[in-house]
Amino acid sequence: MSTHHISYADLSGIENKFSRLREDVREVAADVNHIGREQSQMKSQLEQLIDDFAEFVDADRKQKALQLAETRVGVLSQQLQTEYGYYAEIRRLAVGMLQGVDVGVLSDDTLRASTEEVMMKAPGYWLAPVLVALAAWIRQDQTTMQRALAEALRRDDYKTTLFLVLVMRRLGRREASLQWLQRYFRHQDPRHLDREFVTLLEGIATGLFPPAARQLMQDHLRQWLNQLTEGGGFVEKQRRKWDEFMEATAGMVGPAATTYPQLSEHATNWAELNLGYNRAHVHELMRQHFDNITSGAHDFSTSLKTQLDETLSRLVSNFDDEELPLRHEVHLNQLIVRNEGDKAAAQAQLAAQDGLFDQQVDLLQLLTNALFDSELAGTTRVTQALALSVSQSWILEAHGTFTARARQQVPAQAQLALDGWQGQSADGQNETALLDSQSSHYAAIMQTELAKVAAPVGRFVGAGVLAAFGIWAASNGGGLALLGAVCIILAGVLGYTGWTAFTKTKQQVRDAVNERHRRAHEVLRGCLAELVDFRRDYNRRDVQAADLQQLLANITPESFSSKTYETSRALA
Amino acid sequence: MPRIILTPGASVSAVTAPAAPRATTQTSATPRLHLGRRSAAYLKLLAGLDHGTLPGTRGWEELLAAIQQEFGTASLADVPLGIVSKCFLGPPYEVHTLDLSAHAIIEHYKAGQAMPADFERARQLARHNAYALVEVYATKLLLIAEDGSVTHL
Repeated sequence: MSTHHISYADLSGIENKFSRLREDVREVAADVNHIGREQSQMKSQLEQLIDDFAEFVDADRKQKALQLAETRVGVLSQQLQTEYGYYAEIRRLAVGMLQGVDVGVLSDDTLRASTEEVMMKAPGYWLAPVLVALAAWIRQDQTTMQRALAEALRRDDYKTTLFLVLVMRRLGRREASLQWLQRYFRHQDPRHLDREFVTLLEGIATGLFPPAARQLMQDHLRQWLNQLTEGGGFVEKQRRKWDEFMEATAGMVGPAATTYPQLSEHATNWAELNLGYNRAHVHELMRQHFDNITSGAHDFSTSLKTQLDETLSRLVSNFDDEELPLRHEVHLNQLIVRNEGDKAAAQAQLAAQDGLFDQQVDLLQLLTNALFDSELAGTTRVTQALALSVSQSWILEAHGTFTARARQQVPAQAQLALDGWQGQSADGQNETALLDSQSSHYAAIMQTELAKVAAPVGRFVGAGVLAAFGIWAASNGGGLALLGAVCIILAGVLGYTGWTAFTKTKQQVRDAVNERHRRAHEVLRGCLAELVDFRRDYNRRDVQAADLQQLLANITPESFSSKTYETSRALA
Repeated sequence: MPRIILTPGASVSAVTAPAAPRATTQTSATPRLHLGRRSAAYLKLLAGLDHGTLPGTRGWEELLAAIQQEFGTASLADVPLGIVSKCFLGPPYEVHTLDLSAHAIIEHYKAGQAMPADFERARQLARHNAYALVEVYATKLLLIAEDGSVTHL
């Protein structure tokens, strides 16, 4: 076995190599760091470039869309002008005519010439023959009027009818407006009422139409409701809705814990008691809600007149169905131009505006919405009152059931639990019995707790042994006598201190239990006093159910808007 | 001022057909359970249950006839299992029941005394002043007020 000696010189060479290697590694690390820095720099530059590029592409797309939209607006407007230019002319004429009729300054010849020419130009537009009929009516040419009217009705029965309802009302032709109103009602399907229907309904309810119109409306409403409520499903759904509404109202009352702090802390069924209490509060809240609706001596006739006139002007100034696709296209391109080529934004705006002109509403939905949230339904208090008179029967039923359920579920007893004791009270009248029961509870606690205090037996035994030894030693006399005496004294001291400590501990336990007993009595009395108030308050709220039932039962369809009607009569 | 009235009535009806609704949807027609009022005679008879016992067999017959008359020739499901109402015998009695499924037996219950499960759910409402009596059915309770009006629960 040969031994290989490594000299110091050899080692230093190796060390040199190692240190060179370390330097090389350091350099490599520095290079790697440098590369890393450069890479992240390059990455951020690249991201910047991507962003710039996307922005450029987006801007370019918008630019192209903008140019295209501008071109299209021009082309389409031209097409619109060529195809439907005279429609706009008719609309202008209609507006002019209505203003002229209003102030009574229109020569017959002007009317005849302009309207009949229009009729020739627009073979499909309902407004043209209506204007001819109106002109013929003004100059009392009955034959032409009837012919034109028949043509208008053939072209668009609904719009012609609505137009004449509104014009006749405006001109104060009560009888005629009523006749057209009748025809208008026949057009309506209670499941898909037109948006204008609500305005007309409120106009009638407010007395902007002759009194007979209200009878007409009520007859129609009754008929529709009968038709809609034929199946039990609808009424059931309504009742459920009202039930949910009342439950939700109860949920918003808020906890009564602040009013009844002790009871809420010590009644284990406080949640149920509180729910019953809040439900009983609903009667009052509902009564306020309905009072608010029925006592509305507000006059909406002025704003409604404006609304009716707006409907009329919309009717004569809105585009005809034929033009709509083209108008739509023009409008979209105009929006794209306005949004500087942002097509998505333009389409979103258009979609938002689209719904405005063809909304239809279900009658019952309308009436229910009016009562739950008039702002959402876009109705005035007049319609709310009408809705109330219509929904009265199922609100009454739903309220009866809601009340019965609330009364059934409110706990008959408050279950009290404090410091391990349990008891129950219906109305706080059984205070004496409960206090007695509490006292026996604490008597039992006292026994248990005192039993736990162990007498210092070891110490007494020790003292006894010591005393016995002391006595024995003392009786032996001699040198042990002194020791015996000391032992006896010591045993006495030991026994006495043990005894006093024992009785003191027992007294402490008694005091503690008595204190608990006293405090528990106090809390229980507090709970029962609160329970008395709680029941009184609950009953006060609960009997208000009858007031609400009375209020609802007294609502009749005929009574819902007499006040507003009288007001508008006085104004007229 | 023009005198001709422009109406769709006599003048136009000759030349146009009456407007037809643009769309109508059919409703399914299923008759709805109608909760009619209870008669005063029925209420009065049941209120008299506390005044001692009914005069012998005739009393029973009269009572059953009145109930029969109130519910007409309804099917079995439409006749209540029994009726629960406040007891006016005074404490300790609280409510009494008229069990129609067991040949019209009247039972008076004290406060805290357990009742058959079917009747127990009507107990609290029967004690409430708003209701004169509670008719107990297998799946529902009908609460009858003093004026004969009916609330469904």
